[in-house]
Amino acid sequence: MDSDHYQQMRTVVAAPRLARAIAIGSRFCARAAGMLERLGLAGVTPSAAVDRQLLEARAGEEARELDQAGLFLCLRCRVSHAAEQKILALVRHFGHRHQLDPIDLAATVLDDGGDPLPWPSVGSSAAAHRPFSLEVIDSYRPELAGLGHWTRLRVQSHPPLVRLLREHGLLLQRDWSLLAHASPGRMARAWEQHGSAALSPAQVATLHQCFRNHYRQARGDRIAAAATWEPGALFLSALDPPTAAPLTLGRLQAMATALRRDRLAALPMAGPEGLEAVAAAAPAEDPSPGVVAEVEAALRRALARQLPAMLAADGPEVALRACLWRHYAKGHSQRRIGEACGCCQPKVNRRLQCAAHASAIATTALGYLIGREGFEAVGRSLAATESQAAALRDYLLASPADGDRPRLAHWLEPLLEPPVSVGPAHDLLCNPHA
Amino acid sequence: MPDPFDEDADDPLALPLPPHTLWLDEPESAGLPRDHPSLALHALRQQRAELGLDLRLRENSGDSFQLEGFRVQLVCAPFWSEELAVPPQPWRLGARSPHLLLGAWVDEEAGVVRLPGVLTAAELRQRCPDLAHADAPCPLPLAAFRGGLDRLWLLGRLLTPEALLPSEPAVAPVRLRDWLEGMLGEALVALGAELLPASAGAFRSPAAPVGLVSGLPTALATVAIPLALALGRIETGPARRAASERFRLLLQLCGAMEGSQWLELRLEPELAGDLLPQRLTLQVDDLAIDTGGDGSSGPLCLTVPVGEDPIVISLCHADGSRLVLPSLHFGATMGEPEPGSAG
Repeated sequence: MDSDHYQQMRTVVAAPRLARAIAIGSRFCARAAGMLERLGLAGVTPSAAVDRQLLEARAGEEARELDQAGLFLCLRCRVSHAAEQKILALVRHFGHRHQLDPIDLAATVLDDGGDPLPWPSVGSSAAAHRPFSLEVIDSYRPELAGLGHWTRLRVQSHPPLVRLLREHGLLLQRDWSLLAHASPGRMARAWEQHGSAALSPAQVATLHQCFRNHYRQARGDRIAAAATWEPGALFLSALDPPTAAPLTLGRLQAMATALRRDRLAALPMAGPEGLEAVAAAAPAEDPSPGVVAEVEAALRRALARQLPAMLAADGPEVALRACLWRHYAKGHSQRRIGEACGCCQPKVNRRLQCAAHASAIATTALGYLIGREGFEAVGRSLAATESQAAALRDYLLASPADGDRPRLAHWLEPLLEPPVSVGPAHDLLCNPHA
Repeated sequence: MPDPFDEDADDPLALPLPPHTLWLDEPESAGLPRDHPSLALHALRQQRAELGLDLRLRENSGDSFQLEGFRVQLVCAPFWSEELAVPPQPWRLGARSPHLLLGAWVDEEAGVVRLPGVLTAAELRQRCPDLAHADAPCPLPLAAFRGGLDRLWLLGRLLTPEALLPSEPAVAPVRLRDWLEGMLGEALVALGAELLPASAGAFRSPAAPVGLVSGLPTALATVAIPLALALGRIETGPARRAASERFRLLLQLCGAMEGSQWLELRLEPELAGDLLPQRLTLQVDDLAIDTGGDGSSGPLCLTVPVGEDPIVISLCHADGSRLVLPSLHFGATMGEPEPGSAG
């Protein structure tokens, strides 16, 4: 589904499967607008100052009444709006290559339906479902950044989104981790290429060095907690005492963005390897006719041995894995396999690990062939062994001249049991937090 | 006043995972080890299990592990680094040095490990020729590694460390007959060998050396190959200059111009009265003699007849280093010109 569909979806009443996955601004605009008018903020562009005003209003005596009249809704809208911008940025950058569905992404962070929440909502743990917006507001530190800015930080480390993007071959890396892992040279180059004039290279170098030192101390051995760690005012002030903490935070984020852009520019712009790419990489050079029968027998025997590992999975993955291989064996495209088994395309290849299994099968087969004519050097010479293993793997992944699918698929089909029934699409659309 | 760092609407937020990257299962798990080598090994085990590979993997102390018969040195770097630093210490251990180097790029917070491949010890030596003698780690770019984990699994499943030893040189055999005309052969020259005057008396030591069967050999030609042992490696040519344990191999073609001939080999210290290094073995075809390990080694001598078959001479040290000379053959019956030769 592309962005247009997302926009259409966003403007209509939520579909049943996305009951909590639509930005709330479109459902309760009138109530939110009324509250803004009551506070004298109608028509004002959202900003950190407005956020602070809303928060201050919530701290007053009329807090409960204001919240029920829509004040809290305004803050939740603000978070959802910022989160949506980030989701759309991800789709803009990687949507096509990594086959991102905006609705899948939205379901991970835009899960606040806008319905009234028990008061006081912030800090409440009684609710069965705790929308992402509440998490953001709970953890918000107004002394450091605007709410939109803060939302971005929380999006960046939101586990369901991290897991979903991982399935699509993307790493949603936190700013702090990026900064901590970058060498001084890399930081300087990234800033030179992708930074702004608002900070000089010397300032960047000093701040980066300070950050790395303090980060290590602040994080210590608690790496498990690092996934949710955010710098506090004390931490930020220690990095650059004369500078206000919010400005230091903004500078660090700008430096992290420059690093991300630098890495992005250095990486090949290919999407995740697909099954078609794996097959296309395999040249169709056949072994000499004399050894074809022997090679094929060895490969088939090795495939039968590898099959349990290919199908091995836990829980609901068992049926999914069987479904994926069954459709692969029929020679279906990655897209069709994904549709048939109810999962996104990148997940198909990640689950199948087709190239890795093909290499394992080729190596096993080569073990059967050691010492046979044409394979005398296998096991005695690294170069010969590597070259023969690559040849067998390529042979396995290539389609025969008169065939319509790779040999691996063709030979796999009879080995698989009758179809295992898989329910309707059960991917992340149904359970975004799976 | 707007904050210049307030928002960046075009921040890409995410990064594509590079090739050969493995996600650790349950990266948020508190029980997962967090130091880089442990995470890399965790990823290895995870992938081995997913592919159902029956390979023995045993963790050693420090940053090394055993995969089947291979000693593997693991060197880690932060996930987005472009290179890693190979410490020299493990590669100074002679025969106990690692057979393979596995590079791992790790992000412990995100739970991702990139394993772009392995290098054999020989491949590493090509990249870092002086590593064993270096004081500082050798930087190695990510691109130096190849094959991903498939290469490691292939090595573990189908090969043994012995298969990685340098193969015998694929050079044309050296003709002993040429020595009589003052020509040594390029392959021997490359080893630093030189032709000595036949009258040098190289074999006229007062004490009859062990294994020398000829009493008073008639030396037709004598070749000396300077050698040395440095950190368990047998060195030739310029590489031997810095070594303190120096010796030489003398090859003497003996016999009569018309009659039987034989080749006498003598491994002796460079300095008269010195001792040979311990645990050296001189081998000619199926004959072998060694210096033992008791620290009292004098010269080693062997004699082999010169016939039609090529003569293969090798010198090994117990730490695994091996030098194989180009095979030697006479070329034609002495005194008879080869077909097609002038005159």
